[in-house]
Amino acid sequence: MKISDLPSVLIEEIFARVPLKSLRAVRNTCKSWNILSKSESFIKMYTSKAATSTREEEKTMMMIAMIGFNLYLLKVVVGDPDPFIVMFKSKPSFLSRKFRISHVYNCEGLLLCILEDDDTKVVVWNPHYGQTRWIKTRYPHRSKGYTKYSLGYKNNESSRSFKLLRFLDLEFLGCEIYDLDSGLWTTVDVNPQWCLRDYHGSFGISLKGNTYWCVAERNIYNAVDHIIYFDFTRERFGPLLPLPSTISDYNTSVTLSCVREEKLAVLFQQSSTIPTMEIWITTKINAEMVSWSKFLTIDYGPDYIDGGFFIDEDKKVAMGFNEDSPNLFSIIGKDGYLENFYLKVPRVEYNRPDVFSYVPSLIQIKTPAQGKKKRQS
Amino acid sequence: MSSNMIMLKSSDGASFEIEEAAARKSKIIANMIEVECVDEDKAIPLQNVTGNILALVIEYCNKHIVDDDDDVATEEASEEEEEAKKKKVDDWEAEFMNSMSLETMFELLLAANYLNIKSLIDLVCQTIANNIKDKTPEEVRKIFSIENDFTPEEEEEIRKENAWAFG
Repeated sequence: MKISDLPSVLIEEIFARVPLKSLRAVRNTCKSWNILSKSESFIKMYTSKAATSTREEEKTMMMIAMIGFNLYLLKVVVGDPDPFIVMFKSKPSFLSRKFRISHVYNCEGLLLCILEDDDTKVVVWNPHYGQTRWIKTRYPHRSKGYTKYSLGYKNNESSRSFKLLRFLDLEFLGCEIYDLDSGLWTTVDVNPQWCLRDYHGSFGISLKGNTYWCVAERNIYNAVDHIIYFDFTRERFGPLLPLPSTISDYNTSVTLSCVREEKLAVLFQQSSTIPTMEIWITTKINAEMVSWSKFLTIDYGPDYIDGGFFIDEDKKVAMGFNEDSPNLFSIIGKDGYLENFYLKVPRVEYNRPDVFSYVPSLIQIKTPAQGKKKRQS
Repeated sequence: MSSNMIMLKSSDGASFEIEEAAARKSKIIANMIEVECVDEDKAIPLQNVTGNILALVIEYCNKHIVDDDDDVATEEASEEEEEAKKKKVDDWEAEFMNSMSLETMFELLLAANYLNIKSLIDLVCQTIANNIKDKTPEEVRKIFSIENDFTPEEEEEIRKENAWAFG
């Protein structure tokens, strides 16, 4: 008797117990396994098993870090006895030397990469499969920095339709959506009562398919004191939701982050008089309301997190790149806890650093119906 | 205290006597007992399971029924005892699976599936999956005697995909 004599549901049961990084070997073994491991029924089984599984290595935290214009995969182990960082591969090879990535948006393991030198196209990348999908932008704008992007999805019953949102924040010149299933751009009418400030927080964070930003009320010289989200299911922005903070004023830098794809975390950094850092996490968040609880307050000296940050809820620490140096990664906690790591990277030009937790995704990036490039799965 | 005994008959005509409590590990047999379609004098025929595989299934069920009884008897067992017991079961299972070929595992998996014994399905699937862990596609093909049916073009495509993969 051979393994191929088993019914496919039992073969799926076996594959569901294979660690994620060995699934690639499964796909590349033979055609039928390749098809089976990409089937919706299998992906559903695999993802539901992940929650309860004993698939060991999934317990360590993986992150993707942006240093300069390069991406790195990091494994960070916080705590006992000493925290350490393992660093893997750099720049994805689909990007030849021609392109530099200026920013990455993560939506549950699918990454949207924005290029530094070319705004006529963007790329959606599933690093787990090595799949990419290049998307031509409709009206390339030269007002870089004001063009905001995000990747989200509409939750259908059996699958997710991924969409790309692109809008120009400056004077709010327009907002459009690209549907990855149909391959079409459509314009969305918006008349926002808010604006993104040019702080770090002006980068969106994806949570359960929607994208959140920190905003200030438009036309008022005001502090960043709200969040706004784009609802990819209804294709419109939600209401303004309040941000907490006891230290926020006009000079406070406000940054969002996502915790285990379940909660939002927000970091306030006050550098003017008494440098203070505050982190809050959501206790409840839905379409109409949000509530927050304080996670960490740090009266700190010179350590200031630049760009994106990340928290470990159990260990009560925050981490991110230190403003002092583009390759200095800091883990900051209560009572003066501070661990610094100089990551060994080639000398880099400055770009907003970023770090986010990365859970590989088994979602296939579809090619549009009328796409000229056909790829069999 | 002696419990009821049940007779099981394999597809190749071998008969096995098993305690009812052990046989109840199989949802299918438990169901038959519930609806009283088990005749005390007659063996339950299992069309899809051969004698050598049924012997393994029974060995597994016997082992696990004893453990379940222990659990009831020593409700106040300390955490350490619990752990020691779990380790004992784990060791037994490792030994049990270690003694069989992949081919036997496939047959055992089919039987466990047919008899609907969830914990045995889990155990066999996990053991087979461990044979795939950390292996290259070539190694996986060799272990499972699978032919590489990708065309050179498809292989090239896969090679490219892997070069792009990250994590």
